[in-house]
Amino acid sequence: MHDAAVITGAHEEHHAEHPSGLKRWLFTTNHKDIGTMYLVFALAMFFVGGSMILVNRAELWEPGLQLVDPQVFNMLTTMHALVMIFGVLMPAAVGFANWMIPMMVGAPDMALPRMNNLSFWLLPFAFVLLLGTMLMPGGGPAGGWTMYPPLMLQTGAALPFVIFAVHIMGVSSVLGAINIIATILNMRAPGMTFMKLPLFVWTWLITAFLLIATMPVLAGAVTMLLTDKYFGTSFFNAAGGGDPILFQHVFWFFGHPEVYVLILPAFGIVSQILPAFSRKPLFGYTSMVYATAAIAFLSFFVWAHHMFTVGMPLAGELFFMYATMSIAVPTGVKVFNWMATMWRGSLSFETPMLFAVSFVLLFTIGGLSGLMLAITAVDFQYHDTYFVVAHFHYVLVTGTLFGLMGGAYFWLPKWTGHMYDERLGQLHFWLSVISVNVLFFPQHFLGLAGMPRRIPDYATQFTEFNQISTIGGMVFGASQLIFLYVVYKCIRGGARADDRVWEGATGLEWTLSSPPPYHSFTSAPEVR
Amino acid sequence: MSAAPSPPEDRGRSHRRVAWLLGFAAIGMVGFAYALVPIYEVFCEYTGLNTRSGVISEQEASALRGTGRRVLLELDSNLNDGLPWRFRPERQKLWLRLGEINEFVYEVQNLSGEPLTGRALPSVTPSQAAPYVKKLQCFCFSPVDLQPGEHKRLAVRMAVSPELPERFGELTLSYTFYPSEPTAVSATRSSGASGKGES
Repeated sequence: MHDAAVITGAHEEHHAEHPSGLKRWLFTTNHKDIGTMYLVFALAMFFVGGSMILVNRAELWEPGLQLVDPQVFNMLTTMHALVMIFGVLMPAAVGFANWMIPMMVGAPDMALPRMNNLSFWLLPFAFVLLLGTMLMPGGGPAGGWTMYPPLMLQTGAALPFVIFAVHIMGVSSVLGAINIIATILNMRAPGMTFMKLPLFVWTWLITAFLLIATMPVLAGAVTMLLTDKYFGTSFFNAAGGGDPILFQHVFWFFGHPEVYVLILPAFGIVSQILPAFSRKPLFGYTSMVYATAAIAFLSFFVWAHHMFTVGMPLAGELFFMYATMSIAVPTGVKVFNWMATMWRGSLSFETPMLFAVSFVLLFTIGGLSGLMLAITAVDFQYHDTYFVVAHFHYVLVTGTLFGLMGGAYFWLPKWTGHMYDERLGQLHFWLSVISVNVLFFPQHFLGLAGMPRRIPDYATQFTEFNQISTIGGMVFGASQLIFLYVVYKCIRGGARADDRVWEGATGLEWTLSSPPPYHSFTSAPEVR
Repeated sequence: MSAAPSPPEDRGRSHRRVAWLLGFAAIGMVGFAYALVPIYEVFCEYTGLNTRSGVISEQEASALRGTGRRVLLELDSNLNDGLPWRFRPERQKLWLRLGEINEFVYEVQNLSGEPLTGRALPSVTPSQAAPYVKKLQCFCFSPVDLQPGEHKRLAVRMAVSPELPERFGELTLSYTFYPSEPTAVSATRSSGASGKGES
């Protein structure tokens, strides 16, 4: 006890005053405050990115151009993707990491608290730059979030701002990743060996390594775009001896691991929720860890499946096809383990469990359409159609986002000390899960019938499915306001949550009070 | 009570070590992104991928053995937006014997009132036949400067390899002139352009 007091003494003094008001949030180095800010930021951006795409869904209500002109449509599509990926899913996952990792490994805080503050506060600046470009003459970026040259180089004054925003986001996520790795490697409580780490911690450890390996590659790729446009280099300019296809290779070398950056933390969250509501330990823990690592490793060798149609030689197409399909093996291991965890469990279906179960089912649908896209021969038909849009929205919305939503309901009582409104939570879930399928499932059919993505107009035979999809989109968007209200209500008050919150929950975070103390474990807990 | 894992100053040190190591790794990955540029070029050259057509020397060309088989070569010319030139082949179609050296001419004229530089990029259709189109000399090897109103005859010396598969009876060779900065082109990637063997 004495030792522990010495260790934390310096920290206690430093934070003794608890600055309040704006200063508390600006200067905080506390992992819970920073986690909260990440989550609030992500939630705000969720509504920003969502409204953008609802404008486009409204435009797609019928053929022809009604609401917005094509330039604006393309800009909103591009911005929607950038905001949702870099402003919602990633910050939300980092928010969860900030809140949960120190509590799960038995640490008082993150390893590098000041850097933690920096990595959060870079984000609002990046997004002011990014969103501000929409007000510039010529509008914001409209070349798609993949930023392929030469199209992207036609962006007007917005281009350097977008690129600088991407740089800042990259620095922010790399700093966040460094912090997470340092925390997991150095701050574990005595006895918390690697193979005892909760799966959420494991998935984040692997995600953090992916971030450090790939975000700098994106930074390099966009810097090459910048110098091509303004400094006379010719990395992607055919007239100067460059090759625009090179950009696609560099971009997807980042881009494919990035999709696992987006999904792995959600895998981790679901792997925490399912055992708790099945009242059984996670099935196949060890294989889960190895499967996650295998997915991350393989993700570096599959990037060209995003570019099957650029004219690769047959050997290349086959290599990337087989490599991509091999990822289905570790992913299948995970899905099997999740189902085996529930098998003969004593299940109960509170909101977090509903989101987690629907995650397993709907993510698997997204995974299966991914396998279809991996087959190079049929990808020539599916490429750049709504089938791709349906695929990655099943993976990122009903996958990542549902995982994050489930996690929010799972840990909200722990964070706030109050139970959320279960009735409203259930309502939010059921409205979301029905509308999200109404929204995205018809897009499979649209894609197979040949409707191209990123186009504001379409042939009349696509009208019905587009209208169904738009209705789903509007209902899904509106349902998220319920979530906003549930969170607000839960922060303001509600039934007191006890320390364990859920009867089947296991792990160090549940041994702390609800809400937990400002510094999680001031003395290291014992891990058996 | 059990002792904490390590004294605080050790902890700070090991946090810093992890942070620096990973920070350097991240910076290294920016370097890797740039290293992908030459890696891509070397890989394409080594495997012969992405080479639109090959370059060979006079000796190599004279060593080719003709088979007597003939193919029809169509010549095409294009101008990229913003280049006020006239650009067309002297003859639009010619019959070639495989393995024999041929020469033909494109005519180009600057219609504007200012000196301009253009760079021609070739393309062969069908693309699977591109590796069999071998160039000895081509105006596309370097940028072309034209004074106002200047007219030039641009020559191409080439041969079609006798290994061209039977299924190709007609080839199209197309050139597109892009506006180019004479200094920027020679300064930035002249080595890459010639090394990659695009011709």
